[in-house]
Amino acid sequence: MRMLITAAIALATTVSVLAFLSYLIQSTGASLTEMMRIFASEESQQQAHHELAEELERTASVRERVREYVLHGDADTVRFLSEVDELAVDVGVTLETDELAVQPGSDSFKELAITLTIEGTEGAVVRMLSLLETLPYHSYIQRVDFSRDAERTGYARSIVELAVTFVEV
Amino acid sequence: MITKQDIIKFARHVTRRSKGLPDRRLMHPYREWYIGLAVAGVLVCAGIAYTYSQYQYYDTIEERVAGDVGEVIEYRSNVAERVTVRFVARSAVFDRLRAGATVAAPALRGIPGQESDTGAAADGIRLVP
Repeated sequence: MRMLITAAIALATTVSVLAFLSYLIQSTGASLTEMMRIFASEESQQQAHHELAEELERTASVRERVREYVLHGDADTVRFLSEVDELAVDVGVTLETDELAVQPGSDSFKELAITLTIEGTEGAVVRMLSLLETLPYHSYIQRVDFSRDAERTGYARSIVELAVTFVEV
Repeated sequence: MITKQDIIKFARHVTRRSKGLPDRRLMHPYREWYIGLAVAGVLVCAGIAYTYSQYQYYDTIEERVAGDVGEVIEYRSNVAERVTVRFVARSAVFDRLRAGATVAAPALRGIPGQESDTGAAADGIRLVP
């Protein structure tokens, strides 16, 4: 009888240990799975980040070229206005900068609205307008007023609103 | 006098008794030993099967667990390249205009993203040398 009780206790103990070990394996396995998932996510994100970094490095020169078509800060603005002044001298028109205003744009990019008055011969004024339209910057003409000078034949006057993409530094 | 019938009856009685008394013992060492062995064998086999399946499951867990990449920032490099091509062409037009070419038909197309229809684009300008 004593042997039977001892055997039953041993059996119950064995089954309990088996159940406990099974629970231990399941809980450890669950935490392992979670860690594996986190690790795989980190690895995937690092891979994506690495590919993006490589892409950015590979295309840095392209972005640098694109950057040249946008004004960055006041120094670029001054340089741009000087170029427009030089252009007016080359074309042979009188140029006056009437107004400068920064218009709100997207998060980073704003528009610098420049109001210019151009005076000169009709052909020169038209040529100046054409040049302003094709400036090698991200710019466009918002408004143009063109009038012929009633007192001087062949002379014209134009008021231009030029918008240039501008990034505040 | 003992008759033949009596002898037969006595023999039958003896034969019945030889089957012995009914077994009234609680413990049967041999039977319990083999039952114990069978139960232990079942437990060991179940344990082996369970641990083997667990081993197989966790040995190949890398194939089943897929990571979440999350939000991937996409860099559209072709946009920058298209912009560069467009502005290089625009610069070329500007240089030619500055050099003295005249505009024949300033039917200029707007720059994508700009609402102005007066914005200059290189491919919208026809030059007269």
